[in-house]
Amino acid sequence: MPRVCNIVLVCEGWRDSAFARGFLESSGNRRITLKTNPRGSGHDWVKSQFVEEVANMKRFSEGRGVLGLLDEDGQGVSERKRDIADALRGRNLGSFLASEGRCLLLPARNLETWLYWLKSCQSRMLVSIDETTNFKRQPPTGMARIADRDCRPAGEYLHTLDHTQLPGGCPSMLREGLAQLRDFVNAVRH
Amino acid sequence: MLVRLYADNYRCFSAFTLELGSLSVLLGSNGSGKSTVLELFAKLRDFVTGQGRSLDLFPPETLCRWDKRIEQTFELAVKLEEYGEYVYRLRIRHEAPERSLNKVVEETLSLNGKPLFEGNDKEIWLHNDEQAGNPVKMQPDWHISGISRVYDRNENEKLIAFRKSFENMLVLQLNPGLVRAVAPGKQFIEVPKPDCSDFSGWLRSISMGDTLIGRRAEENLAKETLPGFLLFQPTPSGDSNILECLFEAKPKPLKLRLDELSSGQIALIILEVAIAAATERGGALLLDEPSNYLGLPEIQPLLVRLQDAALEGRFQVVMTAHHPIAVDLLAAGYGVWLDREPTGPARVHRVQLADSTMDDKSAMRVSDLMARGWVSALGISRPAASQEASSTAAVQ
Repeated sequence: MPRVCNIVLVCEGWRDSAFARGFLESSGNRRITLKTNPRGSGHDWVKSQFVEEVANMKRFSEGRGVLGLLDEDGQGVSERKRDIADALRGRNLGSFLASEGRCLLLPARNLETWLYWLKSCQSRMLVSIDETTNFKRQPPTGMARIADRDCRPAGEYLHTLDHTQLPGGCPSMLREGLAQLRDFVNAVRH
Repeated sequence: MLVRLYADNYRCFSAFTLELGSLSVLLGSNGSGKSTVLELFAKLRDFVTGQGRSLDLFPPETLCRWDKRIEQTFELAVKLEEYGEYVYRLRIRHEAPERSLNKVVEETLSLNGKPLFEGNDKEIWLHNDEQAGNPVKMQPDWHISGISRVYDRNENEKLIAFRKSFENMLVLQLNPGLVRAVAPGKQFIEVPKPDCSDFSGWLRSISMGDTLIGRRAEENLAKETLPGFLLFQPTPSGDSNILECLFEAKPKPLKLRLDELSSGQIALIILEVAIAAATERGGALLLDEPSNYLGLPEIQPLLVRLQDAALEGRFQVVMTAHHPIAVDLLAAGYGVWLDREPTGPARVHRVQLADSTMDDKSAMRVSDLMARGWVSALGISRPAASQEASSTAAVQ
């Protein structure tokens, strides 16, 4: 019996993929095919691959879900969402709905915002983390730089949190992202 | 972590330097020297750990064919978190190549620039960890590593840690057709041969020392890699052991000897045990074409696990790759391109994608670029001979 891929994960680089896989694997989803951008970043690349994979899922009636992860990077969340929704509509693919197995996570400002918040939450530190500062360049005051080895555990930790009772100070896009991930995991289960 | 390898006058290496990171993927055409890198690491490991003599590991055939010099030089930089950067240097002189005679004329080890071990063909000095006081004098042996002969002593913990890191280095150039289920005798096998023909004996040996490795491998095989697999079952047979694998079946589990399995299944089992061993012990896992023999659905999951392990700091991975899945996943971030003229030395280039290479969805995949030899987009300049050949073809 061959290994059957249930989820296609499209993201910019290994760190994003490790974080997302941490969450997905904790929820029992291990049959994942990974698509990461060889250049490590690139909104256009993630957008085109996400749309392509949604099209593939429809065309072949295979797979259960497509999960995309893309930094907001100061471009505006609604702008990013509209851009990808337009691309999907342009190919008659509907929109992205996590409950239908098409989930798009948009960390604002970037994944590091989520990683630092989750780390501070896990270690019960009170660190202020906003969604506009680029923490890729400089970690929040009082925190050590996030290492590669922190990414998957952050996804695993996120899986333990209840999206309806997140601690105060949680970045709004992470709150939204966790709710979407719960819907997505439910969708790919069936 | 292996940081840097230097080799001079060894096979296709002439003043060859290779820098390594936590994950390094060696790419290049056939005959460019990728497997030779792994073979050399295995030889240096065997020499330093006393598993082989210079006469057997570095016969005269390993000298560069176009080089008239009779000395080979190797240098290896290794970083260990607790102590710092070691530099190991070995020089071998082939005094009578026609009679396969060689001798070690220099073997040194330094830590953070200070000597721990200094040897030549006349004398050897062993320094203590503090690198202070009078060093101990040892008798040289022309064909055996002096470092391999240092006893475990409190005064030489740093040297022993270096040697230990070599013992934890696994180099695999899998050939499932050579793997036997029977492990003869009771010999303890610390590291398997690169082709893993002695895998059964190695598994028995490491299971005696650390049952966790075998159990972790069994668990992953059963859950992920090899559906239906239950567990390993070594069965004594006289002085030998036969490695059998138990598979789910009704009414009772099916017992199959290791060498009754397919090449792909054997490869999956060996890789799983190697990953479990490297996870448990740390060190480096060097794999020659790990995707060989594997079914397509198995390749990316294996590569992602190796990438995870390397980037999360569980163990270092150095691998060669030709498979497009490996190339597309790993070449851009971790690729090292080796090339050489047919009778010239190997050269090294770090793969760097040009900004325009992957900008949009119509961009070519890295593996397609490599298959066509269009490697300038990857920051690689081709050897003069192949440029000449392509321009000649264009003229014709």
